[in-house]
Amino acid sequence: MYILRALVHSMSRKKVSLLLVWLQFSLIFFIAFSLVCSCINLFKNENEKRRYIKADFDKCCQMIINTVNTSKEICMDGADFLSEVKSMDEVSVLGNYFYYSTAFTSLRDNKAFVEAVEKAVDEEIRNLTKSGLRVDEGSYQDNKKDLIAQILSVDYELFDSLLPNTFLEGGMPDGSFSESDSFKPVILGYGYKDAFDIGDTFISDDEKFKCRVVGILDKGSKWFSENYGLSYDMVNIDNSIIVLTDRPDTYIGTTIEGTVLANNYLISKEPFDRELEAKIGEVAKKYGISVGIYTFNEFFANTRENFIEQYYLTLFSILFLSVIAVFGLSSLIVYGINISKREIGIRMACGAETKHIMGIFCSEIFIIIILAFFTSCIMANSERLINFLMISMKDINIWVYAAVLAISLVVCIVSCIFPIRRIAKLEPRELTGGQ
Amino acid sequence: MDFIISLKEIVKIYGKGESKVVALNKVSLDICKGDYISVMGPSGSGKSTLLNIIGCMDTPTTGQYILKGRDVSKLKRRDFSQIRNKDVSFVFQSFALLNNYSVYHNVELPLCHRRMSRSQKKEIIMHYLDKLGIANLANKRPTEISGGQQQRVAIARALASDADIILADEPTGSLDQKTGQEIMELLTNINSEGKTIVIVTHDKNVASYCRRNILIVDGRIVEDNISDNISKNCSESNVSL
Repeated sequence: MYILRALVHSMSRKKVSLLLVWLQFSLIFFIAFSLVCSCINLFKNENEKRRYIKADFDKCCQMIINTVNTSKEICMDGADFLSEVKSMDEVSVLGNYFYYSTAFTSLRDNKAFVEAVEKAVDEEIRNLTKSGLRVDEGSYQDNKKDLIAQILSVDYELFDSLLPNTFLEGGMPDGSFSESDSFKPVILGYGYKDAFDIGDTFISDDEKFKCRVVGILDKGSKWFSENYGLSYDMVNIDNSIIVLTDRPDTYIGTTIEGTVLANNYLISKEPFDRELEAKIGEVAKKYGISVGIYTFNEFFANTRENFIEQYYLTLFSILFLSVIAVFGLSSLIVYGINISKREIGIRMACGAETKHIMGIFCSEIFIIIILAFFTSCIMANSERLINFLMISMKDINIWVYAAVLAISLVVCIVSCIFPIRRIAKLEPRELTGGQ
Repeated sequence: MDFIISLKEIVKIYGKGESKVVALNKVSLDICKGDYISVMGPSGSGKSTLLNIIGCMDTPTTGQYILKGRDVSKLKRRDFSQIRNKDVSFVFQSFALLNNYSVYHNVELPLCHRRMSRSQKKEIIMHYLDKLGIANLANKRPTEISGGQQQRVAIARALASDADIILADEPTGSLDQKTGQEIMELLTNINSEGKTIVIVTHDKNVASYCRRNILIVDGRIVEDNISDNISKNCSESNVSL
């Protein structure tokens, strides 16, 4: 009751108001939420990159990536353009990947496959709804009927370079990969694990995908999102059928104005310099295309630097806020002690030890901290407030709560230790005013 | 030697340099179990300082203090707390009750940090409240009861700790004559049950209840009248004048 009495006292004396103190700590924890969220997300992203980016992009991995916005007509010669670029001496192809959706109605008897497709469709609907997009439920029901599954077509070399080889349940892909087999080797996402065994074959309705299962991915495996090749966002591919190709198709043409050359990874034999860039530019001009050329490595290096900067800034901010909280609570406790010296003295005269006095104050501060913590939880989960403050608080999970609570406890203990140790060192006689 | 308290050459100095004040000057005093002692003297003579040192509320600058055979001067702060909790209890002039708590909770204070069940605590508290005739006030706050009743609560609190030694600093100082007499009779009864009581007072009437009267002037014991058999029989009472 010492602290609450101090608050009430201070209110009546108009020095500080209870509301302000409450708000102070609630805001501190609220900000802590956003910082911890960012911190964890940064750490997670950094980890994912380390886990998935296995290729040696040290010097020369380049990328042609972007939308050709300036083209007035839909470019029909994009494939030729790319083919010509790939044929340059300075350039070798690393690989491509593309997402397709294809029907597999002939697999209607495969119960596990049907269930996997339906589950995948439902999940997609859920994700779209969650992200606030309007969902045409009817067409998705048709997808279920036609057993439309998502295909991720990946150049084998790219797949091999970017993912560790431990993903296959059946071990490494066998030598049949390079055989001139009409069946393309596929790796199934975890969702299809019950539908086929390794060695099974199946065919899509359009017969474009004649698949032979060579492996099954681990649960929760991820791949780059389909939004341009350079995106470092990873998406779950549990519901995808990964078709490994040694001659990937080139994805050219969109329904919108302009041409998209996406997901084409080129690797140059020499470091990508202005001369090569100009050379590719010339070829692009010939085909009426303008392209953006990015150095893969530079992109990630910059991103990593930004991440590290952001990471330390976030850590520093958390530390700074914690220090402010410690000062705030300490001053509150000092005030509480000042108006309760007599009581503390009487308690000590009756045999209370330092730890007992500490316990009383800590438990009271703990109550305030917990109340402020819950207030901040409400604030952190309030979408309107978040939007208003424009602070991103995605992915508040159990670890975020735990981390913020841990910070709260540390703040609680640290803020109590010094003032209480100081007061407890006094003689009871001094505290009771000589009584 | 059967002294419960033994002070040897105790010196207590407050302040430093020119502002130095010698509150106690080589005071030696032995107290037996069951003694009933008054300490008198003019203001500033060092009575309360002596009481504080005996009660481990303060530490001597030099000298040796032996309490129940233990050399207190060598103990740590934590041990001091335990002594205040188990061996010595206080009754103050201004009662030193916590006004925000009920009478019951005030009496509970010395038991708060002991390992015993709530029902055990309740039994002890109600026993002493009953003994002092204030059981009906258990749920009242100190501000709602009279001065005499408040002092009874303070005495109940002192008894609840089951300490052998009760130190009272002007226990009747804030009370009228009649209530003061009642309180002194109460303390006399408690002493007759075997508790050692040391009372600091200005009042000769209060001192007359005690069997041993000590006069302290300028930090020195100048008179020690022993009028009972306890101190005489305890052993050879050794009092330095």
